[in-house]
Order: sequence, then C-alpha cells, then structure tokens
Amino acid sequence: MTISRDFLEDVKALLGEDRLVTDPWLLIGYERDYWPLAVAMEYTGKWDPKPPKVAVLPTNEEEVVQILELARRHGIPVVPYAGGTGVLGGALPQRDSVVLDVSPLDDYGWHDKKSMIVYAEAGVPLIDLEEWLNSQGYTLRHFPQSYPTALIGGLIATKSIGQYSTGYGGIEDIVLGLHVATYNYGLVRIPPVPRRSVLWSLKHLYIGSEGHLGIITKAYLQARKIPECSLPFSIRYNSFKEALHSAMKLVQQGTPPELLRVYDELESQSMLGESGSLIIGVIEGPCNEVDARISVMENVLGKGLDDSEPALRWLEERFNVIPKIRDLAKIGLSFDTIEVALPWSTAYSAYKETIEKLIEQEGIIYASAHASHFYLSGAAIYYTIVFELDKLASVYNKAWEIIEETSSKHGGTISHHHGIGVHRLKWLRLEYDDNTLRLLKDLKKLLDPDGIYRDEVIK
Amino acid sequence: MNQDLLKVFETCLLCPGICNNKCPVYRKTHLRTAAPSVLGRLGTRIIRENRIDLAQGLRLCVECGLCLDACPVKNPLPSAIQELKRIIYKVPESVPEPITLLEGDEKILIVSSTMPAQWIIDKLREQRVGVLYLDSYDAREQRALYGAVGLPEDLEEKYKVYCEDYRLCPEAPSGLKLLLDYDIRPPKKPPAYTLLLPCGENGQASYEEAVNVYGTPSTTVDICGIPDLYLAGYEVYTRRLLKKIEERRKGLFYLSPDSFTAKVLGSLLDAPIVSPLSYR
Repeated sequence: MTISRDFLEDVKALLGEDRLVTDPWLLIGYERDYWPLAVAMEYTGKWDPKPPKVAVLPTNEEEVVQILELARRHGIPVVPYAGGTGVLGGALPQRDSVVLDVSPLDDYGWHDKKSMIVYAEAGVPLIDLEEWLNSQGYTLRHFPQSYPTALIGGLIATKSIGQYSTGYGGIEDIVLGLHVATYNYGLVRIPPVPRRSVLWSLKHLYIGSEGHLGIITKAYLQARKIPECSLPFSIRYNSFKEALHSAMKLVQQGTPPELLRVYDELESQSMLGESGSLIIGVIEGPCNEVDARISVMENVLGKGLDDSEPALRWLEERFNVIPKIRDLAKIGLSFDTIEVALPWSTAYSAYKETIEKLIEQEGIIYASAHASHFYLSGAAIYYTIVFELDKLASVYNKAWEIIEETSSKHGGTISHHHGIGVHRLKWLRLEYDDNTLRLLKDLKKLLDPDGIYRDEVIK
Repeated sequence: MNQDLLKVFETCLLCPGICNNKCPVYRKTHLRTAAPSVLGRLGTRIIRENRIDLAQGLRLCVECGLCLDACPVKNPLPSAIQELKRIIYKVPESVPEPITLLEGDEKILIVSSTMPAQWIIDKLREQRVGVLYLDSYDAREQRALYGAVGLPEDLEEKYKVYCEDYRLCPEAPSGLKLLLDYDIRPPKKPPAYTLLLPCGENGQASYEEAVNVYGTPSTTVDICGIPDLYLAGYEVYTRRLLKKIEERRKGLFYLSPDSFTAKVLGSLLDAPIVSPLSYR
C-alpha cells in the first residue's frame, strides 16, 4: 500500500501543514537510528538510504490516536521515532510507512510530588527530566548510555536499563503507569499505582513492545531523593573469572552496590588502563549506611575495596564513546556491542566459549566483554567486537550468531536490554519454542489486526 | 569540496546525537533535520553526493555553538556549516569592516527609534559601511535604521520590507545591501515588497507594530512553516549578544527599553544597558 494523497490530506487537516513533513531535506533524519551496522555503512559510503516519504509531528496524545486511526483507515503502516538511539534498526522506516515522531510530545511535571511520581510525555528527553528533578533534590537514577540523547518513549518501548541498575532496576521498575495510543482501543490508560494485582499486567505488555502494539505517549515514573552519599570504588582481580565470582557473592550475600561493573582482562586494559580484571562500582545511600555497607562488602569478599580513581575516571567518561569510535573509524575498523544475560551457573563458561569462537573469526580484531547488570540469578554480559570494515559483510552476522547461539545454548537470553529491533529478529527462534512464538505472534495479531504497527515480528 | 570540511560532517555520523537536545532550534521546532547530528549527515550528503537540494536544511542552524559545547570531541560543526553555506551561496568570507549587527563579529550595534539618527549616520560613515546587517524584529528599530543610513524616501514602498524569504536583496540602494538575518542565500527572484515576520506572540506583536508604522503590507511571507524558528534563533542571538557584552565590554550597544531585544536581553543581563550618548 502506497501512501495516498487522501491520507496526506487527512493528516494535513488534522495537524496542519507544518506538522506534516514530506520534503526530502526534512526527512533525512529518519533514515536510520544508531544501529552500528548502519552507522558503519553510512560512514564508509556504503549506505543505501531509504528515508520515509512522510513523517508526522503530532503535539498531543489525542492527535497520535487520530493519526493511527487515519493510518488504519488508509492502510498505512506507522513507525514511531523518538531519540533515534536504538542500536538494532528498530526505528528504520518499514515499507511505505509513515514515521510518527513523538518528540513534540514534550510535557512533563509532577503528577504527585508527595508520592514522588512524575509524568513525562514520550518526547521528553531523559536528560531534561533528570536535570529538572535534580534541581529539586530528586532523581530517576536511570542512566543508560543514551542518557544525553534518548527520549522517554523510546526508552520504555525498548525496555531500557541504566548503569545503576543493580541498585534501582531497569525502566520497568521505574514506570508506574502508561498511556499508549492505539487505533482500535483509543488511548489506553494504565494509571500509576505502587503495585497492581488486577489480572495480567498491561504495563509490562507495552514496556519493550518496540512499536509493535501501539505507540507509548506518556509515562508515570517513580522518582526518588538524590542519595545523600555516593562512594565510588574499585576492586582488582587477576582474572575475569575471579572478578565475576566476587560480583556474584556481592549480589547474593551482601548488599550489592547500586552500580557494579566487572571488566574482563582486555577491557580492563583497553577501557581503564588497568591490568588484570577490574570491578568498579558506586555505593549510594545515607552516609552512615554507605559506611556500613562497605564493611559488609569487605567481609563478603574477604578483601578491602581499592581506590576510587578508576571508577571516577569511568564516571567522567561514561557517556563519551565517540572518541574511541572515531579513532577506530580512522583506521578502517568498526565495532558493535551485543548484550545477553546468563545464569551464574553458566555465565563464565559461556563468556569464555563465546570469546574463543569470536577471535577465531577472520576480520575480528578483538572481542571483549564486561558484566554490568546483576541479579540474584545471573548477570548481563556485554560483548564488544571490533572488526575490519572491509570484512563487514562476512564477519558481522557471524559474530552476532556466535554470541546469540552460545548464550542460548548456555541457558541465557538473546537480548538483555537493547531489544530486538530488526536485526535480532533472526534469532528470536532461540528464545522461545514454537508454541510460545506462536503465542507471541497471535498476541501481536490480536492487538494489531490491521497490521498498522511495526510488523516484522510476525513475518 | 574541502576534505577537512567533509571530515567534520562525517564525524557526526558516528555519534547518536549527544548534543541534539541542546540545540534550541531542534527543541523548538522538533524538525529532526535541525538536530546537529542530522545536520552532520546533511553536510556529508551535500559534499559527497553534491546534493545541493538538501542545502536548505543548513539554514536551520543558527550557528549558536551550543552543540559544540556539548560535543565530546569538540567537533567544529557550527563553523563547518557556516563555511558550507558560504561555499554554496558564495557569500563573502567576511563583511567589509562594518558596524555589524551580525553575530560572529564583536562590533554590534542595535539601533532604536530613540537613537539620534545623525549619530548613527556618523558612526556608519566612520566605519565605511559596505554591508549592513539588519537584525531586528522591532519595526521602530528598523525604521530608525533605515532613516539613519539615508535610505530613499520610498523606503516604505520598497524596503519596509524584508526581502522575500529573507534573502539577500540585490536591488538595495547603491552602497548598501541588506543582508537579512541568518539566511545567506541569493534570491530566487527580485525582492517582493513584503513584510517578513517572525511567528508566535512576539511575531504578532511585531506585525501589529509594523502595520502601525508602515501600513498594511501588500503581502506577508509566511515563515511559520518552521514554527518558532526565528524566535529560537533570536533567543540564541540575544544570548550570544549577552555573552559578547560580558566578555568583551566593547562594541556599540543600545537598546530601546521597550524593544523586543531589550526585553529578552533585559531578562538575562545583570547590567545597565548603555546609551549611545555615552559614546559621544
């Protein structure tokens, strides 16, 4: 179905001409998101851009619903676009789709200050909301790598997680309520409550739905007081295996630090200039509690915490990967990062097997990993692969396949927090068995009978 | 085109747009092309593929430098955009030693209706004005400036007037060209006798004021297709002016207390606004 003139006229009547974008020079920004493959291809001049033909800029939730209704009436698929920081191509325009840019939905404020609940529309930059909260002594404590750029709607749609997840959880632990625009149920309102036990959880249906089930327009988020004290620390180990084991002990036996990261030997060296394997972390809370927790941690580990310098250096540089990417690009290299999650019982062996397989591949310069999100049952392992741009075609999918299949083989998931996008769909079969996949697809069809939302998952 | 220039734009391709949310134009208009990381793509595409059709996207950038402040590698995108505009639109590298109302030059003059006309003329002559950059949304300021530089009496017919689509006006009186606002493109056609106004509340106020001074214009140019862009640019301009005042303490500054500039600047500037009389 091509985008008809009638549809454009209807959108123009609804939004006005200003909010209907059809000029090529205004559509160029929707060609891709931050999928490293697309970035590398564009940088090297191999990118074949397929910008959308139309983008719409609704300014309120009702308009989003109305656009979806128009899209259904005219049979036009709709792809939502927020900050464009997704790393798996999930915001790439599909078929003859209309891009719905949520950035004009940018209202936020207190919903209930006493309960520390804020509301934020989908287009609110996380950095704005956090800085506004900080100015009043509050915080969301949600700091993904995309913190400076990402918008609230995109973070929820991709089930984001932040660097302080060990203490504060992922976005699913912060979202208390949601509004989702749909063409067949209007604006779905899930009011914010501390917890709800009313049949199945609609909130969790939409968190991480990546534009397949509707368009998130507004969220109610749990703020908290800025911690009184914050103590960065490091702990040095000889090997990643030892460090990972210690992290497990911290999580299972102690009161784990709010931020915890464990680097393998290669990343300890390349990222932080340290030999061996490094743990860095931050303990936050009331000052007297922080002091007490240090003692608990040291008892659990049987050794003292080391200096704060590496953690401080990391905190300083944590959102700044561009110099490294630029330096790699200058010498004909590119990278990707692939995150999975594994149970403690297999985490290290899966890591070891994955790295060994990766470095056997021709074109891969190096492969490394760190663990950066921790649970009682396991940890997220975040691989970095650096490869020759010239060998992109042969090495890229192979590296992904190794990581996804090894994780699955060892009882892990194919995706911890980047979502699926378009690139990861090919490994969906590793996550669920046939019956469960059928349920996933039937659910999608039930909520999107006209196939208006992103539909790769049912193909 | 210049390979160094291309490198600046290409560097932005590698970034998710860490600076995007700091861009006042992107934040006000929500036009994704205005996001600095997308302007990097635009510049890359223009240079690599000679996509001049995309060049109008460059005008969304008001070269305020806030993206550079936020850039982790201090990639000089604003100056690259400025340079690319210069190359595409063949604008001189610098305006010939004027009293300039243009950001990027430390000599700044804001005129007002209460400013003695002869004083302005003297100052302009001293500086051998070749190009005068008009930068005011205040109709009274404009009128004072036109009068000050001796524009013909039929000004109200011809130049009451910002040139259509705010481009360079080739038919300006000898020795004086009006380079308007942030855009630097040559005109597609001779200037129409129209009134170009910013959008929003202040735009409406300016419009009403202008109509009061000049009468109803024959045509108005609708720039509201890019909502609030002018005001976004204007705010940036004013902040920049403030920075210059604070940093350099030189140049010529005068603001009519009730002008829009004064209102915006007044909210930012913790210092008295000086009168031109103090320079005499």
